[in-house]
Amino acid sequence: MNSSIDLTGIGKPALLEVSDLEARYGHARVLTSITFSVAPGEAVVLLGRNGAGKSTALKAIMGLEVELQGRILLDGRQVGGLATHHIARAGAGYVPEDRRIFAGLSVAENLAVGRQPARDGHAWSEAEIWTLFPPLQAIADRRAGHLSGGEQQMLAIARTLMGNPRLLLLDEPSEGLAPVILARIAEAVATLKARGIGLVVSEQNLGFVRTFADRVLILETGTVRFAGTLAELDADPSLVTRFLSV
Amino acid sequence: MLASLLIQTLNGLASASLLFLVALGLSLIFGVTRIVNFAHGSFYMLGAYIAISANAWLGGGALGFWGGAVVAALAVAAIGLAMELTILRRIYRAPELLQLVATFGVVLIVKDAVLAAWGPEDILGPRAPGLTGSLTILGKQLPTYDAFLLVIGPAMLGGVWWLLNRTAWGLRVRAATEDREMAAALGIDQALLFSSVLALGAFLAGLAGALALPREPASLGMDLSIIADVFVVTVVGGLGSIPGAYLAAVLISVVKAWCIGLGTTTIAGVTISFSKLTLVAEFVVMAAVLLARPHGLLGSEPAVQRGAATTFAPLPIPSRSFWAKGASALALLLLLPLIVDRYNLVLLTDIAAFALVAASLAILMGWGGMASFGHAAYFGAGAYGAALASLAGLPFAAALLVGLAVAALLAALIGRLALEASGISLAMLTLAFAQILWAVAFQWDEVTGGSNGLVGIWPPTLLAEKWAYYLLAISFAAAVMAAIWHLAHTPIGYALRATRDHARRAEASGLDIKGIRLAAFVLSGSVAGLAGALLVFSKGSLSPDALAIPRSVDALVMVLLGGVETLAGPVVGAFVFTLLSDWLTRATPYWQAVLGMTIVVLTLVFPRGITGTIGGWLAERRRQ
Repeated sequence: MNSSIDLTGIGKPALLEVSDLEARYGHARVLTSITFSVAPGEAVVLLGRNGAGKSTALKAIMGLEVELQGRILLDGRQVGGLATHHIARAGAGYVPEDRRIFAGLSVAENLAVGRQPARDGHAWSEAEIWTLFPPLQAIADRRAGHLSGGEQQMLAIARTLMGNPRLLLLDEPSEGLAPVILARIAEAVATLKARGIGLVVSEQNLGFVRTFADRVLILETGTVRFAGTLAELDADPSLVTRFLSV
Repeated sequence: MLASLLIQTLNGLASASLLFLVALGLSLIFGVTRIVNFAHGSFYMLGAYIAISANAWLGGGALGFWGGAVVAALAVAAIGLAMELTILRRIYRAPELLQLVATFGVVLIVKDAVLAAWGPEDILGPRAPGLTGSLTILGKQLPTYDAFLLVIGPAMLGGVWWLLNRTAWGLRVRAATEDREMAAALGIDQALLFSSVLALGAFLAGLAGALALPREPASLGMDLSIIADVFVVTVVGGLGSIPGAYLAAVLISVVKAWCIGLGTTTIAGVTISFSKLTLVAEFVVMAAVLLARPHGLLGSEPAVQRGAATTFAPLPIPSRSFWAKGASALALLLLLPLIVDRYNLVLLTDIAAFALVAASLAILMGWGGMASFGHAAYFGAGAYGAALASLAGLPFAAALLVGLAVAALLAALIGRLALEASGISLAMLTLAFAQILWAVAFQWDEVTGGSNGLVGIWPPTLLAEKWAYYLLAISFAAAVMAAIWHLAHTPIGYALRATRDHARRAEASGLDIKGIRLAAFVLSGSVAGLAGALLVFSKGSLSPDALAIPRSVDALVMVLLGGVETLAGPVVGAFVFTLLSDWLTRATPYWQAVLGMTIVVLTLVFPRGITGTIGGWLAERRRQ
């Protein structure tokens, strides 16, 4: 139950290090002493019910909407308190809960908006995006507002990838999507991990994250109630009843 | 007939080009920053004045005219950029009305800066070398310069379309227009984007001002007269739609040009002077488009922008001690004539009337969440109604009632049309209606006395003394204010605030949204009209200024200064603002600039109004 244990494993330098993170909306404290880290190629999943603080944690890392205290190191550099676009350029990519694709722009234009200079000698090309999400290629010229939910989710992830992030923050990617799409997205997440991208995924759907989660954090009322591996979580079924089931 | 209609159409298209250039900049800026830039008209005016000086500086001729226009546009772009960096950047997260008021502060500063630099007289600008002649079309003359302007509009439309759709910068602008926070999360520097859009928008307005010179002299009234037209064009075209803005500019300019072209015509034995009906024509076009297409010609349902402050604190229920404080304040106010001189009694009467205006506006803004940029319409209509009734021989009390009734009817009419739109479009429409009314009062000499206004409107002898009239005004104000405060916590007050907080949910709960909003318009208009009627008998005279944009903005400033989230806010705002502007007008000839700077500073320091911000500070202190 110790929320400050090192989750990165020994010897691996952390890509993201969050320590004693506190976040507020006005006078309401929504996160209390959140501590965790993510290594390159690792997927950390934040589980918890609605209102547990999962989305807020991702927004806080991205410098959106909240006032925060504590340390957020991205590649060893303090990014907490920076403007959102600086955090993005420092290597964080954010895919919001409701996707927020630019509805009036075409699929290709959405991708172009996300484009940033190459990082570590690599820049995502459209061709690579089509390989990751084949259905997008055929609809490259379609207005994004006319896409289905699954297509929008793929586009939202793809658009963020165009910024060549080293860390990807996915907020409830499974929400409202059909199983076949979920499988595709889980597969894409696995590919991204293999390419060394670190992920923080906020989720309520434990089944969806099983294929890629390396570590799990359970949040309740803004604090970490459990931190460990999937196996550790499965070993104690009471955790799921206490913190996750509705 | 056909030929002159064609010439008038071309003439209208030429006017449309200039109007479109200004509207284009306003639309771009609004799209990305969500700020309705009142100072956009000032950019236009600055463009004209700077072009005159630049023309002289470049030695006139072709270089002077064209070079001067470019210099002016660039200079105005730099001024727009400076405004973004020093003011707008600090208030992007403030409520939108506060942003609007801050940009109006800039309007006042620019006006006095222009007055100081170029003087109060209109200045005739240079004519365009090489384009001074005229073309003959079907035997009629069209000024060559008009033909040039005619091309400029579509050319700029094409140019900006290319910028937005074919460049990386344009792509970012379009993305940020949809969701600026998401754009930032993708690594796009909003600040840079905002600055560049402000500069481009200001450049276009400055260019339009410079290019307008061969058709109209540079004058100190250019800023507000164009901004009203531009608001109409933007809303009629559909907020955010650039082709829509061009279409609307063409539609309105051409209809106006036709009215002028038709002149005085006899139809079926009735003589109609169409050239005097240009204002009515504008109104009719606007009303027709909005009734048929509430979001404008090419507009669509406005997207909800994230990250903007839109939540309202609950309105406090007036406590026993609140009423007790109010009663003691009233008792003190009633005793004031014993110690205060005539000048200050008149000033206090002004404050009583303006407190009513501010309170009436707060009903719309604070409770209803509907911004009115044209509140002077009701105030002025009440004043004109009462003045005309009094001059026609009606007794004082009846004249007050006539004023109130005229304002209420007007509010019902404006509300009926403006409520087809919502949000910022609604606010822009109210300004347009008020401006049309102002122009009518200004031009209808036979009834309103035109620019000379009306004189000799005095109360009965019983109230002739300043102290007596003051007592009457303050009693009226107190009674109406108490009724408004009471109303806040009756079902009507709750219903109105429900429509503000969530219109759809309110509707699902069985509330008649439009009916409630319209009722709020009528109530608000009636109170403002009563204030106007009261004030006109204190002054004894009336001019179209009572209907002008600055009067509307004064009311906005009072409410925002005082704070919309408190009951006493508007009264405090009216008190502070009226005293401040009275003191400033006596202290310096450049009072407008000082007032403008004060407004800007106040919006930066008190983003929630004086009472709201200080209340927040006090609450913070108690917590600690």
